[in-house]
Amino acid sequence: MNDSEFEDKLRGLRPASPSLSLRGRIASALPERKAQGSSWAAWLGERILWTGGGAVAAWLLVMQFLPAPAKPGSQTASPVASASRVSEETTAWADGGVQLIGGKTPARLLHRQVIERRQSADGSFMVQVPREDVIIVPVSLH
Amino acid sequence: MSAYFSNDPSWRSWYDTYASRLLLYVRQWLPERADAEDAVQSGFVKFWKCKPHPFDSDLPLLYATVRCAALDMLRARSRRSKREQTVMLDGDDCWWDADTIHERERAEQMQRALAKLPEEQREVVLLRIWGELTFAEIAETLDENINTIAARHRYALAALKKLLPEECHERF
Repeated sequence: MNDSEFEDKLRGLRPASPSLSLRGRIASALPERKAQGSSWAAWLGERILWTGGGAVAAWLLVMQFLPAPAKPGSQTASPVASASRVSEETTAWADGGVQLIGGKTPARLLHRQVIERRQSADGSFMVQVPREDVIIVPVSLH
Repeated sequence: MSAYFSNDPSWRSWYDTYASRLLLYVRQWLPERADAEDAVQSGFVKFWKCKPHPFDSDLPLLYATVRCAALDMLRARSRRSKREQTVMLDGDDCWWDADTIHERERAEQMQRALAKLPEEQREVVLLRIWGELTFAEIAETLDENINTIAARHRYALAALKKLLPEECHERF
């Protein structure tokens, strides 16, 4: 009898089945299955929740470092801006000469190029924003 | 996401297919049925939590996980091991189904023959014959070279032929 035939003979012995309680113990260790529909709904809900949460977090992060919109007539910095340190560096001046503002008011235009640096409140990172200010100096014609 | 699918009923089909084979496999270390079933439970649950959607190619991992559980349990109960070696031969509980006296006799002869094999050969022959794993799967399960596994199997078969009475070769 060769090995293959001998193996086949040995396979004639069938391993004893485990007790019924083993199946029950494993079933209790693995949580019961939920209905397929509700599991998909829960899966989808979880995905939507995570996606929405991520979008809100990203928006808050971006808004923290965007320059606060200037309010007309207001000189005070926004609360968001005050939470971070702001510094600026003038890199260039340009004289735009005397021009008529609105076609009738003479004024001298000065262009000031600035690099504005905003550092986060905890100092973990910094944002640089280039800016150009136009300064209007009224002049009188003689 | 796995939490929603870990309870997939397909664990039952895996259990139905492999539970008896796993039980036989671990009884070489844990001859008492209750201990062996504890090891199968521990290993199977651990495997299923790790692989809630297993493929056939994950079968070596299932065996390896159950093997780890059995050996951990064996180490924890090392003081009892000598006593269990005796039980392995004399226990009332057969490792194989035996409905008749003749079948029980054959099962006991096989059990005694297996007990005399070196552990590394016994393990391979249990996985190959009754676990129905390929040599490649056994090699993956035991993290051994496939040629080593094939050699152990040849030696094990040769030893079994000598250990089992000649008439048993035909009866098996």
